[in-house]
Amino acid sequence: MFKTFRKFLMVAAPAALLAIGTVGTSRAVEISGAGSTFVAPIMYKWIKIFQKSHPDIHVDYEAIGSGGGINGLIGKTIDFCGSDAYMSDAQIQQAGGHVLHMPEVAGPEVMSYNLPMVHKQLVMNGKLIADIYLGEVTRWNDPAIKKLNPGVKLPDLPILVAHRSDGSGTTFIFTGYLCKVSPTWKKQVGQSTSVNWPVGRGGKGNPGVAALIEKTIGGLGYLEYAYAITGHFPVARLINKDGYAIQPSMPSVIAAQKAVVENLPADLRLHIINPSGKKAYPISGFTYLITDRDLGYMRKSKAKATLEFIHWILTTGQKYAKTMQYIRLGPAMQKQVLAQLAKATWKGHHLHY
Amino acid sequence: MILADTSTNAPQQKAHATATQGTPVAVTTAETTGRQAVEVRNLEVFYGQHKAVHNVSLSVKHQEVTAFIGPSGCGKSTILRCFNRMNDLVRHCRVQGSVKIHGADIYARGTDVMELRKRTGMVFQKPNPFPKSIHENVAYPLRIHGVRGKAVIAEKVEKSLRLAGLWEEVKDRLHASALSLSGGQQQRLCIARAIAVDPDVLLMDEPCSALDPIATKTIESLINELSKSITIVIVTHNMHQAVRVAHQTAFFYMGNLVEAGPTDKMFHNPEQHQTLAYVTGQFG
Amino acid sequence: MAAIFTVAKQRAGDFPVRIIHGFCLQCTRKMMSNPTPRNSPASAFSPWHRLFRSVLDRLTVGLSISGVVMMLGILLLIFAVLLNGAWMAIGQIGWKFFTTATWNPVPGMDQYGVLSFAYGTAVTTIIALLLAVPLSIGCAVFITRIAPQWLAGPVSFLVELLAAIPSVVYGLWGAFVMSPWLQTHIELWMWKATRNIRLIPIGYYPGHRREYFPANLVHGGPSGSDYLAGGLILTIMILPIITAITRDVLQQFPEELEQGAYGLGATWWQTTRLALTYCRVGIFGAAVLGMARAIGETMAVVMVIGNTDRVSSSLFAGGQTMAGVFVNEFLEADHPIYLSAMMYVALTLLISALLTNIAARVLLNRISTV
Repeated sequence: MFKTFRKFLMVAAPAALLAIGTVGTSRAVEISGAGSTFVAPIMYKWIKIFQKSHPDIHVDYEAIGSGGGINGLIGKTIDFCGSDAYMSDAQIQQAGGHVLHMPEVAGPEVMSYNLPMVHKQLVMNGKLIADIYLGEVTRWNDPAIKKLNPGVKLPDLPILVAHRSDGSGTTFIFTGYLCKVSPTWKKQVGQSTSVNWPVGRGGKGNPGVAALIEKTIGGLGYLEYAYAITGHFPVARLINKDGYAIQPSMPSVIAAQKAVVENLPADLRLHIINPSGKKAYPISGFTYLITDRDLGYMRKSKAKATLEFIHWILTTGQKYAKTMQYIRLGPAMQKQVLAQLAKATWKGHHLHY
Repeated sequence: MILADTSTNAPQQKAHATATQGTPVAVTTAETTGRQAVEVRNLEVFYGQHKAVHNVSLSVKHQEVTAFIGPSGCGKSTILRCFNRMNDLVRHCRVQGSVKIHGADIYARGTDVMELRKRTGMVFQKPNPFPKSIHENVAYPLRIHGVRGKAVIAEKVEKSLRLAGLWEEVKDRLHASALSLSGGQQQRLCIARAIAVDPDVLLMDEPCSALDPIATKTIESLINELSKSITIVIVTHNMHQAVRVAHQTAFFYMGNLVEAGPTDKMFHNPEQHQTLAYVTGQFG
Repeated sequence: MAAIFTVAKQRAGDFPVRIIHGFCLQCTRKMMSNPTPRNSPASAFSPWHRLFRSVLDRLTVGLSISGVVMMLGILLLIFAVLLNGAWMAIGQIGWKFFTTATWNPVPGMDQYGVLSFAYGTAVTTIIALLLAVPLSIGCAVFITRIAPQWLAGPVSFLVELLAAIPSVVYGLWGAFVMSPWLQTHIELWMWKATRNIRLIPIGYYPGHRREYFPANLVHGGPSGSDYLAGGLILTIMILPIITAITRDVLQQFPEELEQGAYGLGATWWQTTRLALTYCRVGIFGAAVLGMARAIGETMAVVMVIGNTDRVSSSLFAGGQTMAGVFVNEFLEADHPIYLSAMMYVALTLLISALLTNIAARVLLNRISTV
């Protein structure tokens, strides 16, 4: 029933627009996107600023979750999708086989903990995090933690592990990292938007996880960088692939982008997980704008407006990332993404925007 | 004029202070030698600022039926409800004067009101059996007054139902709902319930006003039967009923006790013209 | 609309005159002189009035029937949509869905079982009912039988205000205020009091061989994000509805019975008990409504229950409810079998809600007979 309704809308809405077009009234082009809640705050800011300089384009974004955004793209009910996880091969097939993934901002993930008696910033590495989440390291004074933090007096307390309970791109990136640093994790748990956690409690969204960490001394969990920084939660430095302890920050994430830019996959489907480099932070992901490669299913003016909006985000829009605690694209990465955008067509033709 | 009415000049004082002032109107005549079951002295009842009962004094004789008659709103029910302190439940209700039952002042400090109500059973205008079985209705007062043991309770229930003349009708369906009984049967069940804990006095507040004539007749003969062992005070609208069941009658008008005496005298040869007017149906 | 309903009433025989007034003056006048039209000969009505009446009658009946059909239709449609969505999972997982406690949605590992969620729903609902029903009854008794008028109104209003708070607000309050407090006070105290008392060999905790009651209830130590927290937040949420209905039915307790009980020498408490017995059907109905809300509640529970897919007899263990897993994972259920398993959970929830309601109805019939 719902599908028929969608079909009805798809037929009726352009028809209605066409009817208005023929009587000669000039009307703003409306484009709509949906998906990631993570990107929503900056997306709303982008839309607000973009519309000041482009009054003829009206952009609408619904933060319904990455999965919902991808489903919208598959059903062609939206013009672009915001997603924290890139689409799987199966999803791309469902969507018609050709989509464009365009990273818009990067999102590091941080390990936050609640140990008020420890005044020195803790250092952790991937193996340790995986062992904690596998339930093999259970106490804060475990030798594995002591070894990484010489001179820090660690309490004899259980580690209260927190994770996301809702399916999320954040979990997808985090479990992807654990897969990369721990073969046991890869074999036993794997990577997904939600997994079968061996230990710990789940909290819904960043606030839920933060509540779990905050509540109990000894709490540990992963949070999105923007949320942790805004809330002044203590975060650990992470040891990267080359052995450097890295503070999560804008420079370290841009450095991480630089490390992966040399051997990017052609479709840009990647997370910045465990890159090499002196300054590269090990766990970040991109959040993506995803569209069909050929926008022939929409009117030309709409396709043009969509591409124009995306181009604006990837260029002018980048400078607004910092104030919103997101990490902008590095220059090298930005170049690659713009090249990706240039592949977009409308009924086989390249459009000028 | 009106013997008991001293309200116009009686100062509002505490119960015992005024006890000697009023002139008691004895329901029983001076030559009667029987004990007094209830003795009322200078009773005044207020609902907020409104005075509903004016300085009433009277006595109720042991093991007789006394009828309270009078037009609606004359205070007869209110006085009845003073005998088991049901007026305590009414907000803003205040009682002055003294009420003694078998010599004990029931408004004295430290009176066990629950025990008082056990000793003065009450039957209401509308049959009000609990939504329980017939057996449980009669067993209820026994249970709340601490009677334990199945056999003891069953025996008492049977005795009460027999006394109330209901046993033969319900003995085969003691565990059926009390609400399945007819109106008259329900009222007799309520009487059985009230007498289950062997009260000294039974207060009946227009017990037949919701019943048909045949059920009324049954209840009336039951009252005659019960009066052999229990003192009964019955409030009634129905003057014929007073004639049929009561040994003594008291007539109230506008919160005052107008006249009281043997029923025969009250209906045929009253001393007050108001009584005469009422019993002959000239007002009411 | 009002006219339709009043005419329906007229059929039942009350207030025959008032309704037609204004529609057909001629008839009204006739009926003034003959106010019992039901038994009067048909000639008392004008022909067009009879037509008007029959049309209205039919309209009323038609409307009622279509209402019923629509309700049934919606229920069936929901059922059909869920069954259709869950079909794949039913085929692949079958009955094992109800005996498996693991929930692993990682593509390729796919393992789906509803047991831990069903258990979580049952445990939190039972905790909520055990706490909320006595509390609500106490509250309703206070409002109707203890509090003076100037206090009863405001208390009543405050309780009803609780029902208007959105569930996500309860959830956030639960996560940031109730849960830490629960952990450091109530749970700590419970834990200290019972952790070493081992009386009956009963209970289950993953990875432990033998559990003893009541120590098993506090196994794992205070955490604040657990079955108990889930049950408590539900308690707070269903309190207003049970209190409000219980208060309303207690107000229906007849004055005659109250007087009857007092007249026999019953104490305040004995009379109150009689009132509660008298109102038991209504109170039971209130509890069933509360239970329905508890079973279906999502956001508030998700914020405090700990969200793990394990079964344990410890009240301090994390858990998950059927409604909770839905709100957590439905949006990101990104591959077909995962989505289908989610539908299977929803179907299970729907069927168990129906079964509990039927069971409640059967129980209700039993307790309503004297």
